Amino acid sequence: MAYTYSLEKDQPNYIVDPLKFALWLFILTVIMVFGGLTSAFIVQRGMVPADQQLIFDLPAILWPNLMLILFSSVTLMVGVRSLQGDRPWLPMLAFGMTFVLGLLFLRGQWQAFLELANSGLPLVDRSRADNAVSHFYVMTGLHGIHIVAALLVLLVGMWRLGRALVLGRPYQQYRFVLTAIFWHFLGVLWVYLFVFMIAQLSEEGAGAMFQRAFGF
Amino acid sequence: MSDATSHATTGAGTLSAVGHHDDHHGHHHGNFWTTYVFSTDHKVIAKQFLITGIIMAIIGIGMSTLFRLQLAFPDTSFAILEALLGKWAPDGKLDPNFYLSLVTMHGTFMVFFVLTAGLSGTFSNFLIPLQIGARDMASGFMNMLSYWFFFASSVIMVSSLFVETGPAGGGWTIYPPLSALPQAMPGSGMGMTLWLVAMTLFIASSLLGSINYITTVMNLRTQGMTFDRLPLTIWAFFLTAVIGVLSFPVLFSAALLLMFDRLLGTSFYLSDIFIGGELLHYQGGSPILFQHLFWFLGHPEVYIVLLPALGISSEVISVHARKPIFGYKAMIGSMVGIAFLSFIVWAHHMFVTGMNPFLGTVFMLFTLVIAVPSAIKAFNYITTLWKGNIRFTPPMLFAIGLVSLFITGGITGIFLGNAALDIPLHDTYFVTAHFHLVMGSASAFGLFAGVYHWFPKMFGRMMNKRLGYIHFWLTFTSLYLVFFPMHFMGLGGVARHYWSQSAFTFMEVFMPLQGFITIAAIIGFFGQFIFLYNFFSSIFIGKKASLNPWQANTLEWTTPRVPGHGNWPGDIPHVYRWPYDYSKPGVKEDYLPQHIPDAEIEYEEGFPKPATMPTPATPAQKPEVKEEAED
Ligand code: HEM
Ligand SMILES: [Cu+2]
Repeated sequence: MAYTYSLEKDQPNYIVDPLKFALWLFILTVIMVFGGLTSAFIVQRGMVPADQQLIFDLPAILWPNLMLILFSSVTLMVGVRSLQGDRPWLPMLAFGMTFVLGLLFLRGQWQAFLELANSGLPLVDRSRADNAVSHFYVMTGLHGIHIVAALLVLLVGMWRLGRALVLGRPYQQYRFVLTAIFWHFLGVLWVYLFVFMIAQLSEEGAGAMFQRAFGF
Repeated sequence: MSDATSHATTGAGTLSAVGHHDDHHGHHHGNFWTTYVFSTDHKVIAKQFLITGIIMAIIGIGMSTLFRLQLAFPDTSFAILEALLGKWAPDGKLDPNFYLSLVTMHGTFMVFFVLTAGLSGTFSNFLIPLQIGARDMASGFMNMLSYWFFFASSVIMVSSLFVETGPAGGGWTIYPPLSALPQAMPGSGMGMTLWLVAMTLFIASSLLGSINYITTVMNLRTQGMTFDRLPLTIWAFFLTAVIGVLSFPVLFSAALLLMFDRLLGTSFYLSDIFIGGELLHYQGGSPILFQHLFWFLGHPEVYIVLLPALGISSEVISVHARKPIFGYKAMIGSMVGIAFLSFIVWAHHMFVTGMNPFLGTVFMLFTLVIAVPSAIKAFNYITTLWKGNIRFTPPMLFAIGLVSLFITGGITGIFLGNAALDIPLHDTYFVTAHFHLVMGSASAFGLFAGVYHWFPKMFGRMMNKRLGYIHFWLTFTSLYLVFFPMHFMGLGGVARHYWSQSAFTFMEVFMPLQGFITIAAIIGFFGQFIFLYNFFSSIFIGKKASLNPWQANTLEWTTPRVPGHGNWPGDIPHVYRWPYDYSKPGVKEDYLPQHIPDAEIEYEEGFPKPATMPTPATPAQKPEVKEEAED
């Protein structure tokens, strides 16, 4: 016998919106992954005698990269804010800019990799007893993979938004809110990693590196 | 508590709405694929986890009987080994490398695939929506993904049994260098790579599941289902998921660095290594770093395995003893305490790695503190049973058996937690005995108790009681016969993971005991076929279950005999009390379900009717009776 089930939404005890809550839990798992990696770094660093620890000048391009990703958070925020406004193509423009900034960031990170490898600090170097550079590649690379994933999500969102605009249909604003939360998080994560690397690896300090990057 | 959240205004589908949308279609135009295979219904997914877990258990336990044969009779030739394993058992004796691979895969299958995914995956999925009063998980889609990641992971792990060089052989803890250097031994080759791939998928599956469980418990409880009215099962699944979300990512970090070492040649875990007389130029790495990262997951993992079983037994014991669970809040508190402490004790697995004795003492202290909440739980089980009106049904026997195994195995944990005692006992059969009793057996008993108890809700039929009794006694006695003697072997210094002990005089004296253990293990193994027969035949020919066969209080028994999508045909029941009102004085029946409002309680004749009347002179009133929920 078939039952007829009520598909009406019941009023559950929402504390926060479930989707947003799940996203924060996911962010928590990413934090744990990087927490594990940074503690691995610290443990290995501690195994090398202080006077033999590898320090060097981090690639200067990391500074402009930092600016790129922070700026992309701003454009994404502008996009999300303007979704409610009456200029329907403005959010599209802002998301597009975010996307391009994200790609530029990835390209910059890749250049940092190349620069580092060419300066004699590749991922694998068995003549060194200090793994710090390898850790740098792993953490930066894993962060980059998250950026790629977030860009894909953004792209799908833009595709749906564009389709809705062309067909004159309502669209789901909410997914952009979630994308934005994740994107901002990735920005903050990069700030953390950047500061961490400078503190641990850099010979010159953030200010000198900034000067090297921008020439002032 | 009705706050219209932002999703309503932004017009987005919430997770639950998405799930319902799919259900809607599945229900009306569902075909075989969407109903039974790519289903988003939590009950179907739970059964998928259960069946996959059972298959993995058959393989995993089967492997253990094979290497038990080898351990007990190293010089005997078994035709069956050669027939089953071919080149891995020349002349009917296990190849030493393959012995290591079998032990590794046995541990991996049982810890992760059976007692993590099979247990949490089954019961968290099945019970969370049913017991908190929700139509489904927060996200049916994520739930489905979680199962299929698990399925893919299982397929890869099983297929690694068939690769040329054999499956992974470095132990379920995959310590480097054996896991990091493909050329180290046969079990370090392709099998190890597949192990890492499979575990990555497993981690993804576990995280998707856990995120969903937490979100569902937080947000989709029915009216009146406050946190202090949640069944202890739900508390246990919830905390298990929290532990999972915090610890599995760190295993991913560990595995990621391991993959770099394996595939790209970095030296995170490697340093100064010779293989076959040749120096490998790895520098600066440390296998101990891996152990830290691994056990940061590994110890919480043992509680991921145990907590759901403890939750299930709390529920089962209360229902079948017809008594409120003793110390409900203390049970919750001790589970929270265990969950927290489980993150700061990992180095008790590493006392012999040469750690600073001061650090060792710190970890020893935290480790021994875990015994406190564990003991609270054990005493609460016993006091719940005390003077209960016990119904010795199969689920109840398994739940009581769990308590016994938990105590026996937990006590040896206290031995091992003492760094000074652990140094001689580490990596002996004493450890094997400890964790097989407290983790393996106790959790398996939780699984069995859960299956026997909720089978009527899963399949609408009862399992055969008599077969259940035979299964229980065979399993219970064989487990004790197998694992209890191992303590003495461990105290005698017999090392675990040795292919043959006949080469060492001090170990050789234990050979007759090894034979005894193997025979007990084989009897226990065949005992499980009784369960398998009972399980699968009862799905079709079991006695039809009544709506509430155990006369339990929780919400799942208010659904139809076999609930369909959405679980309740009409409105979701509201909740007016905690789930453990059994044998409440004055109430007509010996149970008082959560969804009965105070005004509808039937009292014994002649009993003054105090519960709903706010008269000051009612000393008999129990403190648990809450005012109606705040809605
Ligand atoms: C009273 C609480 C407990 C204490 C003090 C304790 C202590 C220990 C210690 C010190 C070890 C390391 C032994 C060694 O390798 O030398 C150990 C191993 C182990 N324990 Fe416990 N334990 C406790 C409860 C549990 C529980 C509840 C579980 C699981 C549900 C568990 C599962 C394990 C496992 C799986 C291992 C061995 C892992 C391996 O080396 O393969 N323990 N325990
Ligand atoms: Cu432990």
